[in-house]
Amino acid sequence: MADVTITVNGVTFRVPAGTNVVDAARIGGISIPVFCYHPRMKPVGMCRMCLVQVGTPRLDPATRQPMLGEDGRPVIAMMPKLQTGCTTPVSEGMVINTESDEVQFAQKGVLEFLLTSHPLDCPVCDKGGECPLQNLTMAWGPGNSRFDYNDKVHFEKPVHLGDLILLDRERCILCARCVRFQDELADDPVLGFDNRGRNWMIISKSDPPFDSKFSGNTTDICPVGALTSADFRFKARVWELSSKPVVCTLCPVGCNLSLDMRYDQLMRVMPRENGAVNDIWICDKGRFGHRFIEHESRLTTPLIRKGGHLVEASWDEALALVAEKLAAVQSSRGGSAIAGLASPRLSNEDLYLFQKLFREYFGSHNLDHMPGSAADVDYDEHGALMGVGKGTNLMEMGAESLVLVIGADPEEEAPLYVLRLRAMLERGAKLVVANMRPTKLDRSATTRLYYQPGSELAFVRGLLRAVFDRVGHERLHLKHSGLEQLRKTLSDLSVEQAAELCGVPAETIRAVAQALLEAKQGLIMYGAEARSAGAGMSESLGVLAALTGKVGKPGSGLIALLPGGNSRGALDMGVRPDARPGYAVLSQRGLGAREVWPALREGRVKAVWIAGLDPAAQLPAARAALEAADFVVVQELFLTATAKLADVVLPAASVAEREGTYTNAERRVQRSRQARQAHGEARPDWQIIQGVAQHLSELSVPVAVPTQRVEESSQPVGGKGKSKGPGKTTAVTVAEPSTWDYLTPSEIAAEIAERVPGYAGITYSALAATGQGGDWGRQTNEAIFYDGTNYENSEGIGIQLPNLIEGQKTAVSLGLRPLSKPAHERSLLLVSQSLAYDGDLLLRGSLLERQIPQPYVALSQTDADKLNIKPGDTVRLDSAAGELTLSARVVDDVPAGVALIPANLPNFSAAAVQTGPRTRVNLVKVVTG
Amino acid sequence: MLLETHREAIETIVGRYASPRSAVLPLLYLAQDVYGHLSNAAIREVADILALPETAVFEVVGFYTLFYSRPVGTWMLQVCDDVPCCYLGAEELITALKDSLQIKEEETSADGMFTLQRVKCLAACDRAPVLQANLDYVYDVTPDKVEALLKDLQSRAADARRRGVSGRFAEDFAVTEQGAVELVARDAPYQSRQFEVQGPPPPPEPLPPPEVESGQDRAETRRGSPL
Ligand code: SF4
Ligand code: SF4
Ligand code: FES
Ligand code: FES
Repeated sequence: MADVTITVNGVTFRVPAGTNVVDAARIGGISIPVFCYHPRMKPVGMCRMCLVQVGTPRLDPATRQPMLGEDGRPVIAMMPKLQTGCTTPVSEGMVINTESDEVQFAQKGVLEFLLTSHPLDCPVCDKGGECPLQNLTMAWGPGNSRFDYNDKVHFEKPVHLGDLILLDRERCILCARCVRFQDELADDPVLGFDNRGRNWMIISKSDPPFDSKFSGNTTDICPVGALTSADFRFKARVWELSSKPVVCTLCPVGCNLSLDMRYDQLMRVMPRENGAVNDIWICDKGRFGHRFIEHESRLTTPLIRKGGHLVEASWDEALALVAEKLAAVQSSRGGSAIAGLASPRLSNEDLYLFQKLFREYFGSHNLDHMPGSAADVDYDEHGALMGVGKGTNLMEMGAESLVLVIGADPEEEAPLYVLRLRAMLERGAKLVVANMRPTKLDRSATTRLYYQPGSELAFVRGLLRAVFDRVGHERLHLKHSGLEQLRKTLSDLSVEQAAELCGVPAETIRAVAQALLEAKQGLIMYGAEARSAGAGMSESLGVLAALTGKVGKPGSGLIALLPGGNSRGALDMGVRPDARPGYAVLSQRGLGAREVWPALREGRVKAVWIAGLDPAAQLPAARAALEAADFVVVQELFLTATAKLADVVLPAASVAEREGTYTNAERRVQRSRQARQAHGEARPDWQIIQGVAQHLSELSVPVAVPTQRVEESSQPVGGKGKSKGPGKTTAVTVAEPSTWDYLTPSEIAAEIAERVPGYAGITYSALAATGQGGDWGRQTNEAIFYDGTNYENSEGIGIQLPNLIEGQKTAVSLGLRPLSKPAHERSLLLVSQSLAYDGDLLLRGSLLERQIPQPYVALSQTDADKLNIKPGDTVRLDSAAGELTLSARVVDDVPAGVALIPANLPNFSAAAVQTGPRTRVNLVKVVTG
Repeated sequence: MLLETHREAIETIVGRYASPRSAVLPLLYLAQDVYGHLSNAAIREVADILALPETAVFEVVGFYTLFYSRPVGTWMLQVCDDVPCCYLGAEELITALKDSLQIKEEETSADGMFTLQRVKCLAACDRAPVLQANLDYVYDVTPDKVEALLKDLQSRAADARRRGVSGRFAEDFAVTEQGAVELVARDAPYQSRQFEVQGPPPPPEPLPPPEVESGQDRAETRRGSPL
C-alpha cells in the first residue's frame, strides 16, 4: 500500500497507509502506551490507554483540497475529543499529538482508574519485573491515587481456568487480549467474560476447561499478572532468569524457545521470535513439556550389566566395553551383524556421526530411526525432494496462495502450524483440508472435504487427472522421467471414477485442482494419516506439486509432518538402511528396524545399538529380540524398558545440555544452544558415539568397508532404482579414515556441510549470521508495549535447505505405483491417530502427563449401532495378526468403517493386531460375567 | 432434554433467525422456564443445540441479570429500590416483604414460592412503588398491600409455573386501594397513581441555556478541558 505522511509530536515522516496510529508512531520511534492493543490481533479500543490527539487537514468543501492557512500550510482540524490510537488508521497529512497536557491527563486518568481495583501485589506476582502495568504506571501513571485503598474489589485469589493456567481476577484489567487470542488466533473460543461492571471476569467453560493447545501464550500476552502458568507460578523472579536459546524437539515445527534458567535450573519455557517458524508463539507441549530435562529419573552415570544387574560404571569402562563387544561381533560375524537405531529427536550432528560410525567402521547399513513396528510408515522422501522451496516464509504468504492439508491433523502432529495457517488465511490465503475424518482445522478451512476411509490415494489421483486434463504437463519445469508412464496411469482412471472410489464429488475434485492451478503459491501439507497410506501417497502428492508448477520456488512445495523433532534430519543424514546422507540410494540395502528384530532372534544380527528409542515399550517382538541379542547398548535419558534390557546403558545429554542443529518440516536448519550443565555425567550423543569410535580405533579395528558395500548408485530417490533416470552407478571412494576428534558440534556441522548434499554452507557461523527473528521483545521501547511476551531472537532464524530438485541435478520420476484394491476381508480399518500428548518420554514430569488419554478405540455411531456397542463397552479387535481388547468410545467425528486408536500411548501397544500402518480388523463386544 | 421435549418450539425459534447464534436469548429463556433456572447443564444444552462454544453462552447468561443461574422460587419478586420508588416507600415495601416471607434479599422462601431481589428503576416510576413478579409489573404496591399481593400470587402459583419464571409472557397488574390485584389490559388508557397532592409543586427553575458549540472552533473546546 502507498505511504502517507504524518506528523507526530512535530516530527514528520512517512508510514504505510492503513497503519494504525500506535504502530505508525512506533515507526517514528514514538511510544504510545497500550494495554489491549496487540499487533497480532485486531484492535478493539477497550482500555483507552492509547488516547492521543488527532487532527486531519481541513478540506475545502468545494474542491476537496486541503485548505491552506496564512502561512501557506494546511489548516489542521483537530478532532474535538481524544482518539484511541489503536483503532485510528493514519491518513495523509494527519497530525498526532501524544504528549500534550490533555493526553497526559487522559493517560494518568486511565491508569488511576485501572489501579482502583488492582491489588498491587507486585511483590508476590509472577509478572512483577516484566509487567506492562508496572512499567506504564511508572512512565505514564499519576503517582498517587484519589481512591480509597479499602474500596478495592476483592475476589478469591487464583482460580484454575484450566489445568495449566490460573487466573487472578483482582489483577485482570479486562483487556480481552487472552479472549481474542483464543478466538481469533487459536480458534479455540474457550475464554469469555462473565458478569459485568466490577464483577466482570474471565471464565472458561469448555469441557475440559481452557481446552486449547495454545493456552500458555495467553500468559505471555496478558499485560498484567492475571494469567499465570501452573508450571512457573511462584518459582522465580524474572530478573533472576537468564534466557538460553534452544529449539523445541517435540514436533517437526521446531519452534524457537528460550529456556529461562536460574543458575542451572529450568524455570520456564518462553517463545523466541522467529517469523519463519513460530512467530512469537509456542504450543503448550513446547512450553510445559520440557520438564523431562530435570526429571529425577534421568540417568546420570553409565550402567553396565554385571551378574544380571545394571551397575554403575565409569565412562571409560562403559565405552571400552561397547567398543570391545562391537569389535568382537564385527570380527567374528562381520559388520552386518551390528544394527543401529537412533531417535528422530537427536540432532543432525548425532545422527550424522551415528550413521558414519556404522557405515565407516562397521560397514553396516543396518540403520533406522523408527522403532521397527509393523505400523512404521515408509521413509518420506518427497518431503525433501519436493519440499518447500528455499525462501518459503509462511509469515509472508497470504493472498494468492493455497494450502492443501491432506491426511493430517496439524493440531496434534505439529500444533503451531494451526496458528501459522490461520494467520495465512487472515491474509487471504485459501485452505483446503482433506481428511478421512473431521479435524479441528476444518473450522478454518475455506474448503473441507472428506474422502472415504482408505481412499486418499484415489482422491489424489483424481486431482492429478483433473490437473492433467486441464494443463497437461505444460507447467512441469523439472527434469523428469516417466511422463509417458504417468500419462498412461492417469488415463486409466477418470476423475469420475476417482470420485466414485473416494466419495468426493467429481466437481469438487476439479474445483480443488483448479484452485491449486490458479494459486500463485501452493503448499501441500501431509501428515501421519496420509503417510500411513504408503509411499504412493507422498509420491502422488509430489507429482501433483510438479504438474501444478508448485515446486522449486519459494512458497510452494510439500511439507511432510513427520514424528519427532528431527525426522527430517534423520532422513537427510541417512539414518536408514537404504540410503546414505542426502537420499543417495544404496544398491544393497541393510536391515531396517522391522527386519532387525527377527534377524536378532535368528542370530543374523548379534549386537544392536539404540540411541533414544524405546522399542521394547511398545513391541513384544523387539523385547524378545533384545532378550535374544548378544549385546545391546542403549544411550538414553531414562532407564526405559529398552534400556532395562541393555548390557550397557549410556546416559545422554538432553537438548538443554548440549548444542546441535535440527531440521524442521520446512527443512529449515536451526541451531540450539546449551542451557545448562551436564546432568550428572550424561554426555551429548555425538560425544558418546565419538567415544566409542575412539575406543574402537584404540582397539585398532580397521576401517573395514567391504568394497561391494560402497557400490552404490548416485541416483536419487523417487527413481525407485528401476526407472532409467540419469543416475549413474559409481563407486564412491571411501573418505579417508576419520580421526574422530571433533571438539565441538560445529566441527561436525562443518563436515555435514561438506559432505551431505543440500547442507552445503550450513555451518554454525552461517546459522548465527541469519539475522534476527523480528522486532519483538526486549528493545528500546519494549516495556511500553509488550514486555514479558517473549524474547528477541539473538541466534538467527536458521537456514532453509534447498529442496533436492532445486539444483536441477536430480530428475523426478513421475511414475506412479498402481492403485491397490483395498482388501475388505475384515470390516473396519484400524487407524492410529497421532496425539500431541502421548506416551512420548519427553513429556515425563510435565503437567501434560495428566492429559494423556487412557487407551480406547473410537467408533462411529453407525458402526457402534451395528455392532451393538455402547460407549465404555469392552471390545475385542481381531486382525490377521492377533487380538486386542480395549474399551470403546463412540465418537461423532469418526467415519463409519474406521476404528481409531490413539498412537503411542504409554503402557499400551496395539502391536498385537497391527499388520502395517493400517490394519483391517473385526470388532466384537466382549460380554463379561 | 429440551430437544426431545420442546423440539417444535426450538425449531420455530431458531427458524426465525438467519444465524443460530441469534437464537441464544430466546432459547435460554425457554430453558430457564422449563428447568426453573439455568443450571450449568442447561446452559451447555443450549450451547449444544446452537452449536456455539459453551463459554460464549455462559458469557450471555452471566451478562444479563434476568438469567438465574441458581434455583429461584416460583415467583421471582424484583423490587425497585431506585430513587422515585424510595420516596414512595420502596424500603418499607422491601422490609414488609422480608418480614412476611422471613427471608433476606437474594433468598428464597422456605416453601420455594418466592425469591426476593432488589433491582434498579423499572421505568414505571409513575406507579411507584413498583415490583415485578416474574416480570409481571405490579403497580402501586404500598407496604400495606403486601399480604394481599402475596396471597394473590400464591393462588396463581400453578399459572406462574406454566408461564415460566422468565416472564416471556409478562403482563401488567395494579394493586387497588382495596388490595385487589387487577390485570391492567394492554390497551387500557394511561392512568397514573392517584395522590393527595399537598400543594402546587414549585415551578421548575429554568435550566441555563446549553453552551453553543460553534462546531468550528475546536481549540476552544479543548481549552474547556479540565486542564
Ligand atoms: S486475563 Fe490478562 S489478558 Fe485476559 S483480559 Fe485480563 S488482563 Fe487481559
Ligand atoms: S509446535 Fe512443535 S516445535 Fe513448536 S512448541 Fe509445540 S511441540 Fe514444540
Ligand atoms: S484502547 Fe487502544 S490500546 Fe487499548
Ligand atoms: S424508580 Fe422504581 S420504577 Fe423507576
